[in-house]
Amino acid sequence: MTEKIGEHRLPEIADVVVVGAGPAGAVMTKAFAEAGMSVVCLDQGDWPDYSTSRSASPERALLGGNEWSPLSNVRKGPGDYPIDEDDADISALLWNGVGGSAMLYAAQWQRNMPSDFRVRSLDGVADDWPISYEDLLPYYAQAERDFAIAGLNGDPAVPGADQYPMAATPIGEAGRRMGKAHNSLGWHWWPGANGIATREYGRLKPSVHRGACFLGCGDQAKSTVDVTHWPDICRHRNAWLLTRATVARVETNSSGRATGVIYFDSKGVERQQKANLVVLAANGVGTPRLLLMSANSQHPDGLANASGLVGKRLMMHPYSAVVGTFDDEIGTMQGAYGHLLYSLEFYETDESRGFVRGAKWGLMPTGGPMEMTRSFPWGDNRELWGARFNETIRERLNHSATWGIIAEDLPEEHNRVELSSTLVDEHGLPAPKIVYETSENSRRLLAFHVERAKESFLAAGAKQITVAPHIRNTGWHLLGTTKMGSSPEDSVVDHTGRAHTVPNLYIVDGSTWPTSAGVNPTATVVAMALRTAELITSGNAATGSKDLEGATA
Amino acid sequence: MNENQTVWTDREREVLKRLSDLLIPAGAGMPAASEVGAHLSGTDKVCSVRTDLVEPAKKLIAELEQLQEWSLQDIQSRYPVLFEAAAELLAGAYFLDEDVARTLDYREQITIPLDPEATRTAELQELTAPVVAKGNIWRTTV
Ligand SMILES: Cc1cc2nc3c(=O)[nH]c(=O)nc-3n(C[C@H](O)[C@H](O)[C@H](O)COP(=O)(O)OP(=O)(O)OC[C@H]3O[C@@H](n4cnc5c(N)ncnc54)[C@H](O)[C@@H]3O)c2cc1C
Repeated sequence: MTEKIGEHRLPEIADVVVVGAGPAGAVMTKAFAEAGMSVVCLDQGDWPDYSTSRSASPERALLGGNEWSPLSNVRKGPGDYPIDEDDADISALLWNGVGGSAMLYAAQWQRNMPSDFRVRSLDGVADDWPISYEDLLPYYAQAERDFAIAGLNGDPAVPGADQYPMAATPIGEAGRRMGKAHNSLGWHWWPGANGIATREYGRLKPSVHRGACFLGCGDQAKSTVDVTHWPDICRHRNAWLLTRATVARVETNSSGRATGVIYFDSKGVERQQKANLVVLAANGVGTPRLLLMSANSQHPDGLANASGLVGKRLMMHPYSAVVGTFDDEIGTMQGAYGHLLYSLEFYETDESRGFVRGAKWGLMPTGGPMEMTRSFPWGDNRELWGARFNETIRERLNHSATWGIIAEDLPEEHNRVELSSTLVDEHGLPAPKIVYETSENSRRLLAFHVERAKESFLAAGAKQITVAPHIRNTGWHLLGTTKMGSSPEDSVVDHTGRAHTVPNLYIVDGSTWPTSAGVNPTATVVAMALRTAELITSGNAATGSKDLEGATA
Repeated sequence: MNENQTVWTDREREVLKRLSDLLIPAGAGMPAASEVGAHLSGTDKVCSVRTDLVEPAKKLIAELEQLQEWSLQDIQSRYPVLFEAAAELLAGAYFLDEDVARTLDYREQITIPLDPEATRTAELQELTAPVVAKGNIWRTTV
């Protein structure tokens, strides 16, 4: 379905066209709409169909493999492009449609740490960001209000995280136990902040803890922009959201400025949307793919690619899971499936460990019986089947919790998104091809963290510990493929997200990240989008467009 | 396809039955998979929401029908991808059975109300007091 919000016709030339209706695209579209600018957002996918998520029915546990799979090659839903990943040791996980990949997110909300913006200065690797933690501080707080984050104020590891709009999600017996264990070890921990409502908040309802967060929350408790943002945006007469609209390329004129986009509508008809400003919010895979697909005689290597870095430096956060199983029940069969707690104890570099940078740990419940049989988080589960099947299920179910370890992935140019020479999407557009190899630094980092996570569970009294050292289907954070920096020679966009070589083209998703940090990225993706939106709408960022100066005044 | 339709022939169901008991035999006070009909209406229910599992499971059945003898280890090592799909199908069917869920005290679909905010926050503040006492731990960059 191609949906046009409002009865009014699309503008022939919009002030802004935004590609992508996930968190970043929603934040941008909302800001432009509120500033009175005409804004058209296009997304290749559709609105989520919560009736298929069956979050209150027993079939829920089976759905991760089909309509709600995080793998577009499995899901094959409306707007899903195939991904060529034969040369990748981690699969990219994403969702195409209104709400974006966050439709599937665990809603773990974590700000980057101050050191994440200064990796080169502090640790001598990769690059510093052209912005700092302090630049983002007001936007983090705004993001936490706009996205209804439930958290406990005052974590001494995260400066300024003291304005959560609602109380934290319950940590349960598992959280209590692990928190006390960390207290005894003298290690950092803090109750998880989550985009999971714990009271009525705007359109969100308090979580009822069915544990269905990963699969589209049918209870309207998970903070996703189809609930928190789009209904308000769609009330503006100057804003349009078109679904099943697959953008094929960004068009430019002879002076190198973007003039709009060409897209295929739901019937496969090629259409054009002209605009004075083009904003890409299509994520770390979709955005470089679009720039590469926009190659023309003026830009033979793809749009905004003077540096040659479009698509390069892909970072996906290699991930290990360590599961602790206890003799007694710890209440992990049900509950908010965000992070109960997190620990930043080993987040910062200590070179004596044999690697640089670190990781955030997030403690998660393990879920229902079907989840006891899956490779996430149990790793190679072959031993499960056969004689001891039911014993093992009973040992695990409601008795286990997982430390999910998110490794900071350093940027390497050979890890990349390019255009596939063999696969195409439903419109004949080249699919993205991902080439990715987990680095030696990441492997050492994970090995160290796995050992510490075992110690954490032992201190809490776990009787069994299971390690999944490397899980393929964990590329849920897609970062780095249109690097932000100060010079056009070694970066694609400037500190506001504006393409160095296309003055009225902005990129606002995680592809701009110079380094990956070692935490879940949505808080920072959203904070950066809010900052860019404010800079543009207040006239403090160059738009390269005279027409827009009137529109934003 | 709905859960009252089936895609399995009687011969295929026979193989599914054998396979299901190999994967999920009785134990720990729980029935074997075939005892709850995992290979019967259970698989039909699963396939109504997981059509993607039908093809690989049928392929595995066809392979197994060619063999005289098969063990779990053989199947896992010779057909890892097909095995994974068949295991998902049969475990899904097993756990959808109401008696199995009840015996496991599995009640994920019910709603659990939250304790009052003040109670929860007070508990968390007490638990985190030692973390707070250690003071700020971020690396300063300004
Ligand atoms: C399984 C899973 C779990 C996750 N868990 C967490 C978590 O707990 N915490 C966290 O912080 N993050 C998590 N993430 C990551 C989080 O979802 C992303 O950080 C977030 O969605 C990024 O927002 P975005 O708007 O930049 O991109 P996305 O949300 O990916 O949105 C991009 C949109 O662009 C559209 N698009 C792409 N190309 C085109 C085109 N050519 N034409 C039209 N439309 C296009 C897509 O359809 C999509 O809707 C998770 C992700 C997954 C998949």
